[in-house]
Amino acid sequence: MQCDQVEKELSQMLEGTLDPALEAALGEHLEHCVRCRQTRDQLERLPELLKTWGAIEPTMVMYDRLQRRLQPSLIQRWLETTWIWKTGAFVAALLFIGIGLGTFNLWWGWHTAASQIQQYASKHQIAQRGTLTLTSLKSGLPRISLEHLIAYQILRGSTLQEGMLMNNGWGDAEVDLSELSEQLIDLPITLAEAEREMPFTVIAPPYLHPGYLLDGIRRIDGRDALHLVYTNGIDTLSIFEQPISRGHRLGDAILQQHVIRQKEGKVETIVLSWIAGDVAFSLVGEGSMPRLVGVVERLRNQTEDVGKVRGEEIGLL
Amino acid sequence: MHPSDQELMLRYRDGDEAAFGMLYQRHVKSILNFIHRVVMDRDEAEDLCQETFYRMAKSRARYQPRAGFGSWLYRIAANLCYDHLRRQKHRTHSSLSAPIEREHAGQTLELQEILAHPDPNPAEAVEAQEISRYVERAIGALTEDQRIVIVLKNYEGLKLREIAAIMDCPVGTVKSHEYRANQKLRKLLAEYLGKEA
Repeated sequence: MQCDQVEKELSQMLEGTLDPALEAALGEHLEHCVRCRQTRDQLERLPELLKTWGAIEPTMVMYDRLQRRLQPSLIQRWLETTWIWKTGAFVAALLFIGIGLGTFNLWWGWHTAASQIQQYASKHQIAQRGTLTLTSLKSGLPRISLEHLIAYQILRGSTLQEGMLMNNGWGDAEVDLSELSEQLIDLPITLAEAEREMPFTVIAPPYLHPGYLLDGIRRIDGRDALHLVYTNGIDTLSIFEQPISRGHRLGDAILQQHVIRQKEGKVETIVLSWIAGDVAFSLVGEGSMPRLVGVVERLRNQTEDVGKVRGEEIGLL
Repeated sequence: MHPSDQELMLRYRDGDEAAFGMLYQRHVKSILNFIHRVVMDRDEAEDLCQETFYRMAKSRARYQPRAGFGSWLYRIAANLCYDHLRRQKHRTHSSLSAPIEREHAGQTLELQEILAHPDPNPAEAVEAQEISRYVERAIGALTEDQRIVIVLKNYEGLKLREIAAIMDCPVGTVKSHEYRANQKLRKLLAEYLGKEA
């Protein structure tokens, strides 16, 4: 045998797994070959030398980490549960998604309405005057609530219907007519009677742009408040006037916007409220926002023209 | 009488979690050290060891009793080592050309030179820990296949045919790896093995 061949078989010989005949041949070679004997001796010592590189010990942390990793996941647990639990969890998930979509719908409706007001108001003259205090849409508590917005109490059953959503800039609220404890009615009154009996300067132009004529004036029974009805032959506008000293919460806000819309999300009825002097006004109408804002703007200009509004006090000038 | 690995694995397959713990305790040290000596990094070794047992656990449903449960485990570990080393192609190997902290005649020597020029009185100058470092570096100088063969044979005490089963290759290939590895180790560690004729 050649030395190279012997060297290749030495390992197995030392291992004790070599074929006996081959092992005998190797033994014969080793008896006469010093170099191969030294190689065998080195290989015999090699394992001991290699073992000077000691072993490391596993830590408990390793096992803990492994155990945590082997914990069944939520999905695995789900797959292992019975069909009753699966069905229950499925229904719960559907409900959760439904609630989520509903919330999104409400938010989207509010967002859309508020954006609409912002969009129109920012382009409008009222806004340009800086008196359309849209900050009131974003912060603070609502300054007009259902119980203080007289328009709701008068228009209930017509403009206002159960289930409508009112957006007042802070979110949607479903109009609950049952919460309106006080049943208000309005009675016809002449302009002369109104100007004489009301403790504020009545603003009642016979014409409102574009094409609205004063159809009648009604007094809110039991209150120093008026309901002016305008019509263009097709649509009807209602303007409510009452002194802010009678508990109205409009405060310093020059204009508050309220959008009433039906549940489907379509904006159909709009309420615009503002203050001129010491009088709080609310306009309730159907139609587009630009048209109604235009009405308010004309009305306010008209009140200034007749000198019945203290512009400095209300910040319009 | 202690249950065999196969029995424990079957029990674990059937839901006995304690059997897994017994298997883990029985094999973790071997697997950890095998991986450590192949990848030569403690943290990586722990991660790969965990992965080995994780894969073992995940495959319990498909487990069929077979001879050499330990070999199966080593095979999982070896494959993970191969994958890891392939990913670490560009990592710095402990190589023969890497300088180590020892000087000879005022110059930094490489491992190859140190082994060729040991200190005049090695018995006093070289501590066992230093020898261990040389051994570690010498093994690090082997190829991946050679390292796996040397580690499985010399540290884990496996026969060549068992190593062949783990590496999924013929015994002749394992012998070839071992032959070349031994040549390299004998050369690198000649001073501690006794000189060749």
